[in-house]
Amino acid sequence: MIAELFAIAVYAATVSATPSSQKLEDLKDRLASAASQLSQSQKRAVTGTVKTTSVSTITVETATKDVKIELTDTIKVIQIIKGKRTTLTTDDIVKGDDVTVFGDYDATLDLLKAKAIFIQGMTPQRIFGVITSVDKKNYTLTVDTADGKSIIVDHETTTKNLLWNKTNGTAKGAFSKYTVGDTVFILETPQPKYENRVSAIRILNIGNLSGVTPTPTPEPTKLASPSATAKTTPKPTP
Amino acid sequence: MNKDALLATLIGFGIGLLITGLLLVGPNILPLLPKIQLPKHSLVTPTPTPTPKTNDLIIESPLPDSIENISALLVSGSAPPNTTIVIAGPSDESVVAVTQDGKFAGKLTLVEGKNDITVTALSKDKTSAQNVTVYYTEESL
Repeated sequence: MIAELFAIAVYAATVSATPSSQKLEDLKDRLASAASQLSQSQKRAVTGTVKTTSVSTITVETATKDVKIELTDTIKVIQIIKGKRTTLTTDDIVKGDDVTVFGDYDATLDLLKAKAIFIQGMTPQRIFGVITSVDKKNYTLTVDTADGKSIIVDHETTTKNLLWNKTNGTAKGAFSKYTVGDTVFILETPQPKYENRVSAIRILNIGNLSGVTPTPTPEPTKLASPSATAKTTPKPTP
Repeated sequence: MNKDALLATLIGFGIGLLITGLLLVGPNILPLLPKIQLPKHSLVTPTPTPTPKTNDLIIESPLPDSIENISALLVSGSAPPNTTIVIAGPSDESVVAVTQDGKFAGKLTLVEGKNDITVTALSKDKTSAQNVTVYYTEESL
């Protein structure tokens, strides 16, 4: 009797397990398929210069290789024009534009299906180093960078100054507070006409970390003109 | 006295004798009995092996070439203790101190498109830097 009951239970378990195991297998297959699709098509962004353009595709030259971009119907083209985020069309993309393309990358086709293209303007650069001289007359700083370059930094009227110390954190700075030996982080735009000269957008001064003041570059001193004569104050007559 | 009462008295006397005997002899017999040992399970949780502290600057977050959809970004990582960390992005910077356990975290604001982020660790005698590039767009991808 007990043996009969046991046999029925085993049979019932086998019968009920068969459909669920099939479902499990189906689920596994679907998961594997989804994972495969996901690995083949993934969200990616590339940045580079537009090399060629056509109606449906563009080629972007990146630092490592040329990437083919498929232009979809729902694509958005954006550019910051005069400080305003402007929506453009794919016709506005021209050869030589610096772009960042967002989309789904198809590894099998080696193709990026673009969903959004951002046309980059001139991006500011960053330098950091130690101030070796401060020209308070011409509002310039000379900064020695870690790679051994000496760069003249023009302090503009629009330059934002920030001063940091351990106790107060970051506060508003001023040109008068820059001293030789301070470490500065500068967001700048290069000056095309002059080599090793930049225009500062933003300067963060974190002070003198090493405690050592580098010897400032001597400035040429102007000699007094020979015509200049010392004036004597007349003595009051009694 | 009937038989039942006599039997109950005898049984009671016998049980009493047995208990007395066990109390007297028991302590001497117990060490001789085989000992049953239960499997040992330590209740003390094993202490994880501490990761060796490196003197390198490491950016743990964000991951390289990641796509962000929020302009506020938290940059975190590890660096030697007692160093000052400057996290510089394309529009602003963040200056933070490294904690005693060698961790740091600071906020940055991203601009749309490509964002090159430089993390610089500064101490009195050494300066090291690491870069990471992330992408940001307001568009839903």
